[in-house]
Amino acid sequence: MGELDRLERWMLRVVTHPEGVDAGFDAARTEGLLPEGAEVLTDIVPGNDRLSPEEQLHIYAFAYFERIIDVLADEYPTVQHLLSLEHFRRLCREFLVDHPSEAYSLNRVGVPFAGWLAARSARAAKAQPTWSAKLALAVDVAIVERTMDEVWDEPFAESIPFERLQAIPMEAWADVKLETMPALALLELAHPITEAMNAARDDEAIVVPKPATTWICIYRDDDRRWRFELTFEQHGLLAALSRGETLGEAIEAVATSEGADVAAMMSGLGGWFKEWMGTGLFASVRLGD
Amino acid sequence: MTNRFDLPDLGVGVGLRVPHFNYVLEEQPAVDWFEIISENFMDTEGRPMRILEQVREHYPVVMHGVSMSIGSTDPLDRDYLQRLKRLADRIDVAWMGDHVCWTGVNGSNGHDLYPVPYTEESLAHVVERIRIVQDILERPLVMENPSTYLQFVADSMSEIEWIGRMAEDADCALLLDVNNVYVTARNHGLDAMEYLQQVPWDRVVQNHLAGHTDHGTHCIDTHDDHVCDDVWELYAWVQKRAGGIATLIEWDGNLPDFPTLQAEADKCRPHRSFLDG
Repeated sequence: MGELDRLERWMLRVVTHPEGVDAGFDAARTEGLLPEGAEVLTDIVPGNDRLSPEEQLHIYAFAYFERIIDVLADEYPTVQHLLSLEHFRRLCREFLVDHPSEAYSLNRVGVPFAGWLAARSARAAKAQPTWSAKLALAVDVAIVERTMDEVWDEPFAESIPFERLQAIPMEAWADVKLETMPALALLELAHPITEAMNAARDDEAIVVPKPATTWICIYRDDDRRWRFELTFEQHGLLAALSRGETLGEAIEAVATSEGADVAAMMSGLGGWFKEWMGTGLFASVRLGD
Repeated sequence: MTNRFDLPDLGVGVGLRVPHFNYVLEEQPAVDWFEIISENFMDTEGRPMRILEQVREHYPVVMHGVSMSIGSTDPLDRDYLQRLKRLADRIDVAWMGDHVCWTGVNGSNGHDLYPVPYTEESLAHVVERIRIVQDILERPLVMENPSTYLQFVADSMSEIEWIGRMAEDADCALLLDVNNVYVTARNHGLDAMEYLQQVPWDRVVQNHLAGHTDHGTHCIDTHDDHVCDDVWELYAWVQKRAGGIATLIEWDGNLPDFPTLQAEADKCRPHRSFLDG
């Protein structure tokens, strides 16, 4: 290990330690990361007449947590609102300790956040059931907020109007393949999230709802993003179509699913597709192979 | 005076930031060029890319990255570099660069611009890496002097001596951030003018200007305010000394509306008026 490598490993350990620079220095010593010949901090960083070495390193240590937590706060505003600013920032610090960033982009640091919250919620379940319930809702909210961000980065495609589907003879509809927009995501969540997200938007207190499986569609049509709830049957249909199944196969898949309301689906199909195509969920329509 | 890379003086530009997207597209404001943070555009095919392509139709664009980590002892991230190159080719950027720093090591990223010790070892390491990167990118790299908040006992030369040798040995271009010179000089009790007098001017293709936060005992490069008078004074000297260098106002925190940002950029123009004749 060269001196440069040793110095960088030492400094990163010191400025990312959750308990601060002094604790970071001690940890680095224990882990054998001190640069060759260094015994005390001033052997590595001289400081000056205005700031000690600890104070200089603290500038970087402070920035490490603040910068990344600010990014997480931007990505997860409803989670922050739900948990409160203080609790959110404390959880983010814990998250960062468990998940030091390995991504080159700050935009990717928060990718594992929802999964980490789920594990955190499970750990709290027995000792702190109320807190655990809040964290469980936060998991779903985090998934939604992450997905809302990710649809920005999917490519744009022109949507097709309902008339394109109508132009196909009805007897051929079973073989139709409808390609969903690239910037479309379908989610299955453990909680209803719409009221929580609206409350955060309106800066009102969030009432934690009882768990109930909820299906959500998120999509972008150029410079606007949309989120709306789906029924089980609607979610199943769109999911099958987005996997490349024909309309007939999609209907069959939903109809044979446990708990599906087949009669409601069959009576609602025409209206659903008219609405979905009106809002631009599909990029192309073609007859199957 | 022109730089040895024959890269043009693009005039006065500003950073392209998300809250200004619509204003820029609708108003096409009178700035000369835009700089983008490379990492905000290299992994998207969505709205940011559509905006960037429209902006590029009307303005020159420069790419400025924060994640190359040229000073790190970790292997270069070839995938990252290929993505950078694809974006640069697609947008036909005027030039691209990053910072003299490291951002992480041993696979972890601190997402900060950490200071490189100014030693012979680090110099050889960084020079070799810049050469490799320039081969991959097929263009000169424009490297920016950082703001630093500490020095190392191991330093064996001054920052500007180290950067000058780096630029010479790696044959790369330089982005001289005048605010960073000021902040670093203040933080380490150095003379900013003495620093500037040692700059290899034929390698400087761009200036940055920004606001910083003065804590009395030290300054932090926060990019969240107007450029201070002392930095404007240094900038005026730099422009005259170099004979005109493309200049960018960096403003990230407390981002103002676009007209305020544009007005800050326009403050550069009197310092470049000798170019008008």
